[in-house]
Amino acid sequence: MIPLHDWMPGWGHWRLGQRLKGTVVAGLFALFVLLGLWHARTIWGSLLHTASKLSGAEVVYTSRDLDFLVTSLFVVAMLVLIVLFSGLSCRRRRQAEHLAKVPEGQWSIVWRQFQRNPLAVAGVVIILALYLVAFLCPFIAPYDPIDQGDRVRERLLPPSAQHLLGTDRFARDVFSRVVYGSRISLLVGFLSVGIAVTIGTIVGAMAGFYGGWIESLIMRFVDMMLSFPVLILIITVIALWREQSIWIIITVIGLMSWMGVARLVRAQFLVLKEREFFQAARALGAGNSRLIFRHLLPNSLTPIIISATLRVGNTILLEAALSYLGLGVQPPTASWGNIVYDTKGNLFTEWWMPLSAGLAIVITVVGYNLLGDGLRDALDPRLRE
Amino acid sequence: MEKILQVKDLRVRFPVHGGVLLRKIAEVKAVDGVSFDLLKGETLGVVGESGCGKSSLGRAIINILGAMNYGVEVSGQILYQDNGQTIDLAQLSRSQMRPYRSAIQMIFQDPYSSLNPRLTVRQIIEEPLRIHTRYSASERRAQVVDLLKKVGLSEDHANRYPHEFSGGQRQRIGIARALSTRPRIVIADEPVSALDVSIQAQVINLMQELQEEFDLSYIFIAHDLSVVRHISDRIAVMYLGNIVEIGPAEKVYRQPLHPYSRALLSAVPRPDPKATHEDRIPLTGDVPSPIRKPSGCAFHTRCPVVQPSCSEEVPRLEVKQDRAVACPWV
Repeated sequence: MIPLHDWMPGWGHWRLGQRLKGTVVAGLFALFVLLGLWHARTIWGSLLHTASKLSGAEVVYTSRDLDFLVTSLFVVAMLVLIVLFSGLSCRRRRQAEHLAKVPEGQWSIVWRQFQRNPLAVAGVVIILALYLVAFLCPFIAPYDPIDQGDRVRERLLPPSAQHLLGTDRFARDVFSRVVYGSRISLLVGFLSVGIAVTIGTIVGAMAGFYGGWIESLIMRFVDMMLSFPVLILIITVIALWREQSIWIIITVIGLMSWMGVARLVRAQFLVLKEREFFQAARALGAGNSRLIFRHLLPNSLTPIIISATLRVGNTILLEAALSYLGLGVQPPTASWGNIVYDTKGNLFTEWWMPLSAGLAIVITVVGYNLLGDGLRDALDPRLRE
Repeated sequence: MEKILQVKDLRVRFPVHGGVLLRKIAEVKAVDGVSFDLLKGETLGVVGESGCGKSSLGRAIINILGAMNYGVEVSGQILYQDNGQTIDLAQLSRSQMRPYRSAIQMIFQDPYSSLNPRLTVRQIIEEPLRIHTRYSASERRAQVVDLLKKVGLSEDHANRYPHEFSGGQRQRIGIARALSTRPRIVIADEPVSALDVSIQAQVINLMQELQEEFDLSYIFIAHDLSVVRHISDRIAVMYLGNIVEIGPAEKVYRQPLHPYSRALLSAVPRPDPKATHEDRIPLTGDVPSPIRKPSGCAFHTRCPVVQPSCSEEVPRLEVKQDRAVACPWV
């Protein structure tokens, strides 16, 4: 039986002496409660609207309605999850106090080490906050990002209480657009890098592990890919498709940016193969998969993670550049890149528009870099005390 | 005494690539026709300068050279006696070799690089058991604890990572890993040369205790002659890929026959400040490159008692008194 106060987000942790955790949990819970109350009518209306649609009523149901539904469900789910988390985590904590000291798992050591680095924690907070914004877009953005207001009177307004960051030349609310733009940037950053790192790791691992002609073949191919100017290559590939979608951009960016990772992994493998623990594993008769997945890859993790996090920043910039060139995310969908693009005619008069989207890009990139640095330090056993 | 391992005419050649197209332009003859027998339960010390092929010899025997060096050529016979059967390890493919790997294990030189920093001590020691046995998790756990105690560590150490240990402790972990498969032969590649002198003795003594307990045969590679003398039953002296002298440890140590062994042993510092250095045999020049080995006797360029015919004929190991020497003039 878990006592009632453990279910209270934050309270249980405070009673157990975990004040920081308790404060964070309570703070998050309060945030979602406030969000839920603030948007109670919207949530309720969205649920009713969807219910009437599901029951067959003839109502107009747009993608924006779906967006509201998903966000409403997200808020409700988060409330439930936070309560569940606090209850269960308090129970585990209490049980751990009764048991003998259990050996600490590798990841909990990494996490403990990670927490000691305030910059890394700041990076995580930034990234999580950005993802939260991306999930909660409809509740944060005061307007529909593609809704053009009165194009005569509300065009190019300076920042005010109604429009926090003013309006653009189509009288759209820039703040709402920046908020919605986070979705595109984070999605592109995360998925493209995921694709690039996966391909790069596989290719680099094969080259580094097998060596010989396999390596020569792979690395010459990598050199060839690297010798193309990436942006132009991406533009060419994107131009081959009639319609442009965010998924094509993600895939193409991913397929064009794995080479650095491949080189990195190969170099790391070559170094590790000289180390005696690898020879020891060979002498023990370890098979290829054991050698790769237990000895080589885990020891290559550090550079992979660093390069991945740095690449997220790069990729977000690349997407912004593509959108700025008009080849990325197509208007009216908002992305940070095309927000800057939209302002190119009035860069100096309405400077807050490019600045807001630009700052958003900078914050995201810096957040990922801080996270990467922190992970690198935490993952390196030699840097642990 | 029963022979457990016979090495016959073992040769290891590393290609040297050069030029624009990275063609093979030369080869390093790291091991150039080495033959010896290893008896059951004995320790064979292998000594020689850096680059004389000691380590390549050990790695060739456990057949891991090909993994690190592309294009390396190994020839000769490595005959291992397995319950009355004779198996030539040099002929085996990697998968055929696997069952014999548990019988021949290696202890490495650098305890800081020989343990995977991402694995706990438990994971390191139980890895051979995962590969070679079908033990359950609890059986493996018991084995690990047992091995840790045997090498002088405790159960509490099992969940720690290698970086939390000192060099001597790490070497003990390396020994425990090598012993986990209950090998019959252990090749120790300079196992103590990276350790403090005070720790060296502990590790050597531990290795001797374990040799008795597990009935091990050691091939003990080192460049420190006093260490080798202490542990070895027989000593093989290597120079530029060849064994120049092999015989009982005390005999070789007290009265080396080959000019190179004499020079090598005369260089051992003596803990006696009054000792004269008159009996030192200083060698001039550097070790010749193993890419372009001198003709005839490889040692003739530095030999203090060189004869005109030395550069023409390759001397063979000949039995003299109680040992074998590769020099016709002694």
